[in-house]
Amino acid sequence: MPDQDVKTVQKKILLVEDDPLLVKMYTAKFTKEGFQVISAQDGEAGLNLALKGDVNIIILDVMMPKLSGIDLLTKLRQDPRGKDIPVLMLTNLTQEEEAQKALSLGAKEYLIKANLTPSQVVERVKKYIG
Amino acid sequence: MLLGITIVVVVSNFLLGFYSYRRDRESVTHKLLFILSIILSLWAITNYISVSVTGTKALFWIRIVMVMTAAMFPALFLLVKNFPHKQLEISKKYLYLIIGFTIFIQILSVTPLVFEGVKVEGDAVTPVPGPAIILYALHVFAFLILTIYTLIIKYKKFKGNEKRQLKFLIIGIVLTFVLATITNFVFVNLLQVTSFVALGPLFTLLLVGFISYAIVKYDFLDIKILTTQIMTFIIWAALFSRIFASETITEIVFESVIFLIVFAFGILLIRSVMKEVTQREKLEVLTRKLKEMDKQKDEFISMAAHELRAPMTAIKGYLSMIMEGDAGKVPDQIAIYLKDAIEGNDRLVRLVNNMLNVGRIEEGRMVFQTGVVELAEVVTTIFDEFKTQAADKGLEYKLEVAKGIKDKVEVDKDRIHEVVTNLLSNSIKYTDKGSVIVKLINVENLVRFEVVDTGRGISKEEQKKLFQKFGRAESSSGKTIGTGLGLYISKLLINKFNGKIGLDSEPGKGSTFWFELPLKA
Repeated sequence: MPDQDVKTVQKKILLVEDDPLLVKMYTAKFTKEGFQVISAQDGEAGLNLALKGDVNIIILDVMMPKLSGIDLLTKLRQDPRGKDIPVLMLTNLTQEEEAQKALSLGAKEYLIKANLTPSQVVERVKKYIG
Repeated sequence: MLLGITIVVVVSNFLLGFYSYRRDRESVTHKLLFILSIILSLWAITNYISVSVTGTKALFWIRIVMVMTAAMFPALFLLVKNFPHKQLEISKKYLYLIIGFTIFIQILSVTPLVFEGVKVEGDAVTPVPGPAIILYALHVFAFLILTIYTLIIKYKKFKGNEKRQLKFLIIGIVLTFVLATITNFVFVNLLQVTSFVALGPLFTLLLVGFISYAIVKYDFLDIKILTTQIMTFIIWAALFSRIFASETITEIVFESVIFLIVFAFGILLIRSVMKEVTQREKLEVLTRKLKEMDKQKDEFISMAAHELRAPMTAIKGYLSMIMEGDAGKVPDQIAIYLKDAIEGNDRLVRLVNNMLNVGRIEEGRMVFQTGVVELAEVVTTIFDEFKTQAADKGLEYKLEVAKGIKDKVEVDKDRIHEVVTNLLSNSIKYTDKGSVIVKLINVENLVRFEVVDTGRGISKEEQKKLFQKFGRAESSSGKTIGTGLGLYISKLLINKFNGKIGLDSEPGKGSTFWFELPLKA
């Protein structure tokens, strides 16, 4: 019989970011904070992971090869599996049109990477998935 | 006098048409204008002759005038149809059809079918219409209607510069043909009055003038030179001819002197118009270049700022993670150095943000997430962030929030955070000894934020510069610090939130940077 231990299920973060340096950094931080992290370095791979794996939250960059963050978000929301996953846009672009579009597609927040430490990003994540 | 008018009109029409043609020999529109101007000149000449002769000679010349008129309207229609294009806009088939029919009408005009003969009553010579006059009238009005129709369609279709050109064309045509038709056709045929026929040619000058102006679009400034030359030439010719019309020596001398004076002034006038035109052209070129460079500068700043952000994120991230102990316990000495590194990087981030934001705020592209913000909370957070910096400089550092302060304001939280940070960091940066006191008080229905420091104080001239774009001040060591964007952006932001920002300072007596915001009701 399976163990009846009460084990807290690790929350899973999907990080979609094309800069490997930043992927490494955020993964290290999120892991340290007790999250499970999967990552993708382009929009297409990111969308696949989002619809496949049971992720609790998606951290999404905007400028990416193959499929941009906004396009990914649009496609995600069209799929019943991806409709309700909380999404945080994490980017270094400050285009207002992108921000508005993202928020209107149900992104929880539009964050500028350069203004936040990884810890601060973790705080925001915890706000949405505990 | 009539001869004078005619000569002037013929010469001017021809010159304008020729000048326009020379501008662009390949363009159909330019060619058509030239052709039209030739037709109009011929018309002016034959018109003059027709009113200067009598009897059967008059009949002959009146018929010749009709030949010219018959060509005028199709020519105008073709010009309008092609305006302002370089290529032929109608098929060759229609072109030949139009030309063929026009020639037919012209042949008719020389026969008694259009004008049977003339009625001579004393000095007045009135043509008697023949049976084919109806056909003639139809020909003329058909092309007139076609012209108007084409103009209407084009007017609806054209936009911007082309539309402007078209407006000139329309005004010129309407004016000329209405006036000319009245004097040369209506008066003559319906009212039997021929005395105004001679004026006809003058109106053609209007037409050709307007059309030249319309076509030579980018070079309309050159038309200014040309018109000045034509007008001056006309006046010279008129005054010169008066010398010959003089009867006494006194008159001759008088007219000669007048002519010479006007001649001299004419030369000066032409020179000065030319100078003005060339200068204006240079100015336009320079202005365009300047605008282009300004746009490039903004684009460069944006691009550079974006590129800088990625590595800055990595630096900020890793430094903070090390500081938080993610890589193990941080020895004290390392922690001290790390803190300075973090501070340096944060300044870098703020700088880059300013560079990125300034253009966007100025052009209204920045989107604000306005909400109710408790100013005291923001101020306290930022105050705490700078505690160590102030301590390192040995400054007395206090926060005084008035008791029972009303501090709810309607602003963008991140932006107001920026403004407070900017003012506070400035004060600490520029104060080497003494104190930096942060105050938050209520003034009537406003909340007022102040940073009072004991820095070196700022003179009135420098105060004016500080809130301007790229305006900076000197530190006490005489070095200018900062890019000068922080205060400028702060001013833009506070103004956006319906507040006021300012500085009270005197050299040697420290400074008080302050801003006031209206309270949320």
